[in-house]
Amino acid sequence: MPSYTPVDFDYHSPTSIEETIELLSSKEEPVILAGGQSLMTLLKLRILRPKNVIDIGKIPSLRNVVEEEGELRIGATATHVTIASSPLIGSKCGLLSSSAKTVADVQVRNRGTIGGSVSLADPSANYLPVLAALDATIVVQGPRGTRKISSKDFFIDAYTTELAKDEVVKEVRIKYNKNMGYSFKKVVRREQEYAVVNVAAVVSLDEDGRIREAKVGVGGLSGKPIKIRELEETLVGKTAEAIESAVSSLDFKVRPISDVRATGDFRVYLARIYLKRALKEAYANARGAMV
Amino acid sequence: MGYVGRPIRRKEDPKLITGRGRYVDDLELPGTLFMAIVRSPVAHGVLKKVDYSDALKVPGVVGVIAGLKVKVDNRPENFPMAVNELLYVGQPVAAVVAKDRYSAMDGAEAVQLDYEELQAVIDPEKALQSKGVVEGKAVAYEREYVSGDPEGAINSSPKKLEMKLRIGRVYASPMETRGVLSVYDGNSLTVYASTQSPHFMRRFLLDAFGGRVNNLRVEQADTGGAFGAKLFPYPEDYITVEASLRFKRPVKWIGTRREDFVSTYLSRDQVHKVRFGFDQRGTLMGLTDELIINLGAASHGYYLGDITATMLPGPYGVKNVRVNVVGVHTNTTPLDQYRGAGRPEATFVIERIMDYIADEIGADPVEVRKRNLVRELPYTNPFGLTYDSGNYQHLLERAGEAYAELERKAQALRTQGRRVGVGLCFYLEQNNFGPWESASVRVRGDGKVSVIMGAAPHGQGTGTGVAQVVADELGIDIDDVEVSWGDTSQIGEAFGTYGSRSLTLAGNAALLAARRLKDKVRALASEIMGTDVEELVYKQGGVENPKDGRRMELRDVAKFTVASMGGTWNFKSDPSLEVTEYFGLNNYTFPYGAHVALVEVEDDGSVKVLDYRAIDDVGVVVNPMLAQGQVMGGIIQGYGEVFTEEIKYDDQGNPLSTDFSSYGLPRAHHSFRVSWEFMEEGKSAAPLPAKGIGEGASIGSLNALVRAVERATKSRITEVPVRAEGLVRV
Amino acid sequence: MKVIEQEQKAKVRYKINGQQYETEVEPRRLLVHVLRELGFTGVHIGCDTSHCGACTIIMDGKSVKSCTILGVEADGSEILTIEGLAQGEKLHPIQEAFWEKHGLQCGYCTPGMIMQSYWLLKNNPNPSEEEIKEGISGNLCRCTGYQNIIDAIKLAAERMKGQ
Repeated sequence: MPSYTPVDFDYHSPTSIEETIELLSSKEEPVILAGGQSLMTLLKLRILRPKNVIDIGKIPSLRNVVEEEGELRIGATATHVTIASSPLIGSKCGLLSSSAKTVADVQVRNRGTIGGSVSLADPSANYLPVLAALDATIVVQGPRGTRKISSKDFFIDAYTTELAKDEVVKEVRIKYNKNMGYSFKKVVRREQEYAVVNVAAVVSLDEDGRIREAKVGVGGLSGKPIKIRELEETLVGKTAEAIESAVSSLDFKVRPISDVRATGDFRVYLARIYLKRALKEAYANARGAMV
Repeated sequence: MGYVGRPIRRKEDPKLITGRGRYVDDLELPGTLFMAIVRSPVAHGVLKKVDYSDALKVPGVVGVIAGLKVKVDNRPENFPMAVNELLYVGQPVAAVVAKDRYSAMDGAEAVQLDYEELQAVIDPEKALQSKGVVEGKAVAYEREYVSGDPEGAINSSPKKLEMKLRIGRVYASPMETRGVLSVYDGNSLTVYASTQSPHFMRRFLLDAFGGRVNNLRVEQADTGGAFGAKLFPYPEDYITVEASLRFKRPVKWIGTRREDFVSTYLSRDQVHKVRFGFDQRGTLMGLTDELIINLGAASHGYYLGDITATMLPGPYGVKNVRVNVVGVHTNTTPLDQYRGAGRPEATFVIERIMDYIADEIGADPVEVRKRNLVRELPYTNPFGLTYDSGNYQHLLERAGEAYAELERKAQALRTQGRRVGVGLCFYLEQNNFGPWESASVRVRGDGKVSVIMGAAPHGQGTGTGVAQVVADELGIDIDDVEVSWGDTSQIGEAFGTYGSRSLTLAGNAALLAARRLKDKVRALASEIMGTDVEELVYKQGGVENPKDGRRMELRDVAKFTVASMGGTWNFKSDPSLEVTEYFGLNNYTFPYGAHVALVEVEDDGSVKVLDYRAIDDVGVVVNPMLAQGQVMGGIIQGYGEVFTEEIKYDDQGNPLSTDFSSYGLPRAHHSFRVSWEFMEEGKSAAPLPAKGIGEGASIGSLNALVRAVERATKSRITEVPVRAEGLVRV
Repeated sequence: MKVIEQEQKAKVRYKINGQQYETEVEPRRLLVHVLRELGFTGVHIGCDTSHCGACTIIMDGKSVKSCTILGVEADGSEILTIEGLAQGEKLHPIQEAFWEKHGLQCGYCTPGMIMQSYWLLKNNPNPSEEEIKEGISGNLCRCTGYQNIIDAIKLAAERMKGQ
């Protein structure tokens, strides 16, 4: 029954990613500790009972946020507060900053990391619809080398990813476009702390104010985040007036999660409301950026 | 200028804002062992065997207790541990004592339970049709309250309605979980606890352990909130004491939050099937209520059904009422009180009825209430409660103005297409649950005054309120008054802090003690000064002879008594400058008030409180800042009960609400501004004519918010909590 | 790389409220327990799932929940707890404001709430009401209903500006 203490384990704090991978392969029942904001609770409740805890928080290179080859490269242990306040991310990918700003609460954002969030793949996590919408790439490293996995393939289901047991998330890469309007909406039921649905929208416009490109992601509706290509295509060449009906007639083509937080129908209802709000806001921002 | 009536900042605070509070987990004695509890993993079962042989092998484990039985009123046979029947998830089955909390929990995990699962009953209405829910019983309590001819009155009424109302199950959620530290020295037992009532705890522990210890002292540690949930005997109290007696070491148990969710007595959980009749003008003629209260796996919460039943008529003059109280068992954590204790439920029901009458006859809800309100006080209600004092009509008029003002605001917003509504709740509260309380006022040798009270506040600020009263009465600086409480060795008998009673009862005990103390001071001073006692008056912190202007300060009288060691005491007056008083009132007090809320319901079902007014009459308000604090905190708790909080189970009785993610305690972003005003027309009959304010807001807030949402969404709401899914725009 | 095997104790060093401490902890021990065992009992535990914020401290300049960090993980860090906020007998303006505005009742959430307010005002000396609510949304209080806490933070912000 209840516990407030983790089971006994060995603690390792490697100073490089190579050491980390070596430990992952050689140690029995290991877990990776990054910011610990989800892991520690699982340890305290003894839901996770690892024999070895590998703390990657002391590897400096994993915290870096850089721009390279036209994309943002965000180290796995970059914290939410770093992402929310990084001028680089703010200027290149405001959508990601915006989603980082509303992860849990201040204390969690001060410790929690993007790599941890991505590895856990909680369907209600803020980043997931953002990464889905932007076709982000997750770079993982293991004994067989480095793999670059698109978010479409990385997220498999709730708490299930493409990451192998002996691999660790190294960074998240996002290609960005300038002059885009964006909006991130987290739908928190007042009864619950966690989001039931998250939506992310990015819109860029042509000179006439028509949508040139739209990117839309929804999290929390099903086990993995979804990119809604049908909607993205429908909106091309249209203006804000088209958003209402395009979203209303949208078929999400997923079986929505139905649980104590919200029924599946309610999730779909909320996803629609917030998709409309997010797209309209993104459109307005994009227009604002043009002026 | 006196202190009473002013917003004096709290004497309690300096230690709490600097981290120097001493909560029970902060207390440690040399050799303290830590105890962890093994709890039932199933809602119902036959317990066959508790095998703790592996637990004893866990490093650090000192011992294990299983099969402990103590006979306590209204508790099951399987108390404080399950011996042969598992009754709910979370029921203690064994306890592991170890060198620290980590090894205790390792040990608890190693205890094996062998059991056979039985059918669990979770739904209170299904329990009525079941058998053998808890130790062979399904119905734990039945009582009928009847006055007049309710059926006849309803049947002859021009209009009749029936409805079923439900008030969900909630968890008091003090920020500090329960905890106990028990210290046995081979002779005396000292128990440090997070409790609302150390003296009561001492008495119930004496019943169980009095034969085994020579002396028993309970000391209340700083207590991190309670809200009614730290009052009554808990299994862990007995188990911790037993462990300290058995292992002859200090033993500490601190509940984890998960444990607290499944083991702390939960509350409310009532179903009401009401039928009522009324006339064209909205006068309620007769009312019947089939009240089912879900007592869970013990019967000690039965009295909450009685409180609800007897307060059901509320402030209204209806004479023909029948309430049938049925307390049922389910395989869930036992039920007991939470802030308001039976009155929020009663008020919710009668106020829903008032709103439905208003809707039915198309009248203003304020007018319907006016028509039904009791006009003359004192008034004895159908079930024998005598409402004491005040002017209900006057307060309702004031609330009516606020209601009209918020309605105008709502109208303006509605024209913009916004879904807004205004709700009103008028409430009458019974408090001063006694029978009495104690206080002792003592002047120390340095002239400082120490007050020891039997009440045991844990956040309310009663210590400050009592200091204000005593400082005024003795005419001294409030900084020279120190108030303490919580230690059963400091004052003979007492009850504690619950039921909005502390300032009324302990405050009056302190006031009377201070008054008598002045007589003692006069008597002794007259001998010291060589004057006739009749010539001396007590004035502003000392005694004076108006004839010759001679004066002796209180502190000088006190110093005189301890000025020399040795010698003899050559005065007729005894040297003690201390007086203890026990004060009780021969009736409950009945504060009353009204809450008015303006809310907006958004298209995703979320609710925003746009404006909130609370008006109270609690007699004399000793410290408006503290009173307002109680009101604001109570309203947000009410908001939680209406919108965010509910203890839920699955069909097998597994609790689904076991942490602050699955149980929605209001957070800062839920909070809203409350404007509060008070009247002082309904004074109590006590020398300090204050009534209680601790619970009023948790009573008045429910219907104000529910009605506002109902008006905003043009729906009918018969249940709390109100789920967001039900409020979306279809 | 540092390795600490279970049931072994590792030597850790913290600078707490300006003073150096050295103690031994086993890998699984939570920082909140380590701090409390060192005597900083103002750091409270209110839940086991990182939801309540009662254990909030400032670690290396950031507010964190000390129940969600291992003692070994925090080795070498600089920590500020509620006990270190006042300068001798002189209360910090946030402490003063909580007292004056009746921003606490039972006091259990208060140390965490004050430490979180401290971080909030460090990062945003002039927060709006909404920013205050968001800033303390990781800290639960059951007694006050939050309005007085919000007012206390506003008052503290006013006073700290003048300093």
